[in-house]
Amino acid sequence: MTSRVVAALGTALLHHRTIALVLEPALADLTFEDATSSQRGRAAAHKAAWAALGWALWHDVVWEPRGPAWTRGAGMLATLCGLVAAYHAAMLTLILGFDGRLRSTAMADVLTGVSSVTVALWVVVSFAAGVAWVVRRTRWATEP
Amino acid sequence: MSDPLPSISPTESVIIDLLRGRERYGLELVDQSGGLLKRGSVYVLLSRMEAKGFVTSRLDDSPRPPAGATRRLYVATPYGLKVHQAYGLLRDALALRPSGVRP
Repeated sequence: MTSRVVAALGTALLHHRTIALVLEPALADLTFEDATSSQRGRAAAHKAAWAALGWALWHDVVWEPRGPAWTRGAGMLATLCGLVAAYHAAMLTLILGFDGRLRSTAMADVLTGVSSVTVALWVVVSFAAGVAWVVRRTRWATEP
Repeated sequence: MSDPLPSISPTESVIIDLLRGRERYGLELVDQSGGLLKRGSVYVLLSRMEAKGFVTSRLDDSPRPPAGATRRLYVATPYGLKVHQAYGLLRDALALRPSGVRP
């Protein structure tokens, strides 16, 4: 269980080199100790695997010259959030006007409907983008 | 402009000492270090040392139980040993400072 969760988190968040040099050896130790050690040794190995994931994240954030593996994804997400926020700000301005007073009820209804559809689309698209971002990275065991 | 001098921390020195002319696993290093190295952080240290050229590693190709767990073996490079030795000499030389002078 620990191996699978740590490997999955590592695959989503770390550079493949960090996975190969930091996470894989720690997980290999975990597998090795799971088969050969006492219960206490196994507990320590599980704890060490989580610690290795923490240190690997720290390594990618602080040391990795390319920056954290999720930087590009986070930048894209921030851009999309910004676009949606700007769109809704524009809609609100059209509905309320610059002075904050509602101009037309019919226009408000239309724009509210459009906004609702956009929010629903935004949720679907961002969920799909998040899933694609995770899946885009191939399985860590088969990466070069 | 010349390249910056390589730096080696006391913990890295311990690792170089343990890997002098002998391949070891990460867990072996932790066991042999007498508590100086921690299991969770040893691979990050080794990864950094590999990036600095102090150690090199390879995947263990010998069949070991359990199957599927490929462990990594580490050994000190000649460059790592050289930097370690140079820092040892520097430490020794600076230890001869006049009394009353703080490091």
